[in-house]
Amino acid sequence: MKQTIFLIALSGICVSALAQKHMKYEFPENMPEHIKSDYLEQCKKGKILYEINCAKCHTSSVGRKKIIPDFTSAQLINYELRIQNPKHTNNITETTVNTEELAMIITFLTYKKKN
Amino acid sequence: MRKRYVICSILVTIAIFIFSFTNSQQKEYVAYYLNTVSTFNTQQAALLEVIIKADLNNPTEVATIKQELNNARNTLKSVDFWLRYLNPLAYKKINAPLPVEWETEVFEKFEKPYKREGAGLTLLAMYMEEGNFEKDSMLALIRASVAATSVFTADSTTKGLSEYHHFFLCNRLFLLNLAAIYTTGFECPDRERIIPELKALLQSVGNTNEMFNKSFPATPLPPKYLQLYRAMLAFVGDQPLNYTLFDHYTFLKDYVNPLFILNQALIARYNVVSRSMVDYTLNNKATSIFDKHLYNGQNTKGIFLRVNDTAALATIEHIGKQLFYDPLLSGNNRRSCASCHKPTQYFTDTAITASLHFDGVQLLPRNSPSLVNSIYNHLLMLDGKHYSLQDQTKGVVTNPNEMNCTERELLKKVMSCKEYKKTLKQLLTYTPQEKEVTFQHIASAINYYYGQFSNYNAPFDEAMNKTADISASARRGFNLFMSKAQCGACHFVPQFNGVKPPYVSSEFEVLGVPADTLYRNLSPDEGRYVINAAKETRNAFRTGSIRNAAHTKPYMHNGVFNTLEQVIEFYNTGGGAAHGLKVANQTLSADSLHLTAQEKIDIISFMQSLNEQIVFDTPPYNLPASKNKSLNNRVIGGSY
Repeated sequence: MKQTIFLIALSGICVSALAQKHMKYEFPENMPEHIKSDYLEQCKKGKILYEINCAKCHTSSVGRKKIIPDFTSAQLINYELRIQNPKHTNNITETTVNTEELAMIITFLTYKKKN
Repeated sequence: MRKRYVICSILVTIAIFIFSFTNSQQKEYVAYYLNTVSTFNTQQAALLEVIIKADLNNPTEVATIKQELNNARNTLKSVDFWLRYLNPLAYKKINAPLPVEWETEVFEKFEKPYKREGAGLTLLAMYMEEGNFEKDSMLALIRASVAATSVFTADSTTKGLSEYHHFFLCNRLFLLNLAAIYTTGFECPDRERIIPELKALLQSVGNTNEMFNKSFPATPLPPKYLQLYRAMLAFVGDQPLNYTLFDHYTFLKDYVNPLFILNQALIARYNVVSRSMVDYTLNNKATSIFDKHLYNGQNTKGIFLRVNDTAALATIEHIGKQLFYDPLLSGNNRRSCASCHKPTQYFTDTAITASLHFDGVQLLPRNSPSLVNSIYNHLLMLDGKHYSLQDQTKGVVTNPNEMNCTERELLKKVMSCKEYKKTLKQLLTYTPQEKEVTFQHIASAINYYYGQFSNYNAPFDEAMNKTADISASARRGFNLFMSKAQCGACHFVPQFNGVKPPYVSSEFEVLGVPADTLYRNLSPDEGRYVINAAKETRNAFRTGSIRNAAHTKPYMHNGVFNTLEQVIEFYNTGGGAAHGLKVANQTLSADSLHLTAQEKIDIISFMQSLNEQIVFDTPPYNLPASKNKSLNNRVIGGSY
């Protein structure tokens, strides 16, 4: 009996962990498959870079759930030009997140499923 | 109880009073700005009026146009401080030095260049200098300028002016331009107007400084700054009006750079933040214009960007050095990066016009550039093909004519060496976005290794930072460089490469470089044209830095010249076009510079003062052993 409870609890933890890790993306319907898989690859890397560089200030918690905000495309463009957030002037510079990495983060935020 | 109410209401009244007071003060500053822009507009309208009415065959009327143009240019100088920063795109319609330019709007790493037709006061001045009059095109240039000026009175542009932040950022750009372009004639085709316009500019910025201090008493320019600024005005006031006799050296060393240093301190002290793309690459922590970290060019750490741990960085450097010398990176295991970029020869090859082809027989079409200071370019290669060092590394390694390897093969060979494999796997903890070792890890280590050699200063930097001095000949050479010899208008202070303030894009030039020293033919290399085909880009090459030039022969994209004297003579004559070569789109003037023998010697002395005091290191003693035994007799640094 104990063992069953343990197993159920363990699988519960696994499922919730997977749910958190498994991010859903929304790509345009007519995007060819090979491009979609390239973008997915970029999005995955972008998510990790987001977690390292952005999450601390931008991700909010509702209960246990972490919520990554939905940015508008205008906001994302300005983040990419580094003119959106004055706090970034000193915190997020070319020497902490470079142009290429910033592009991956923007790709991730563009295609992640909206909340 | 009542007492408390009274105190409270008094405090509130004071607060409201102070608030409305500061608010009205700032309004005064904005009104001053709008008023100055409006004066500029009136002056442009007067210029238009005169052109419309003028008979262009009548020399007196042409002279009147010139007079009105000069007035308009002088009033532009009173708003230049703001306009250039607030909207660089609109500004280029008012004041641009070339009829057609291929540029990007924001930052060249983001987008393909687009074609921009020039307009405005500089082009009109240029056409008038050349005696090239055509009423319609003259009117079109000024009308475009008038239209662009309207952008600067729009609310979206002026809203930032009520906060102090913009001022110190405008001022930074202004000081950088004082260092790099305002004294060189970059935007002033009439040579005799350069110093008079500079004076008008300095005078009006002096007024702006006072107006700012009155309106923003909480964040003023300190007395020390204002005092030095006044000293600069006095210095320039005493200088000759001929820009060749102007003391560019003292101007930069004793005034412009010290003012820049003070302004950087103010940016830090007042927590100035930017909302403008103009500041994209500028580094708030730079302590001088001649600080190698003035702007961020390339990221040498690549994928290891966020590694700050010194032990890990030492590991990356160590492995980067081994990889730099390792011929495993080539298809036949016989060539390494060091084959063409010899670390003891300033990371270039001074013995040969262009490096050997992969076949070991032919020569490549281009001279191998020095890697020293390559990190201060946003676009790499002479045609600007690559955006990042890591991509550039990949480009060379996989080029069938150069190292002829593939990404996969290279990775396999590197990972077959136990030592590489172990180190690279350990470094994976710093790149959580990558689960496996990739080519990026290898390229990044190589880039980090050689990037270290770009951090050294030259005697000229030390002179500017007042820690040493340079010879009188070198000082004269710098003054010529910035004036008569016209070098500074393309090789911009402080890197003396083609990246000008605000240091977000590179310039390409067409010089008409010959295929051989007898000028029988133009070099067949199409340069930038291959990347961005257009009439203007044919045979254009990215302007290189002249730092360490004395040690990095041979010169030009194809290594055609072997001495600095030959190079100076090439420019002195007026490039390929002046030697009878057909170069329809040469951007270098085909007129002679009329440099005297002594002047040439002085310019070379100045160039020698840009030789950096680099400490080079020796090759590694050994390279990691591979499981594949046939790879273990490879030669350190490659065999050709």
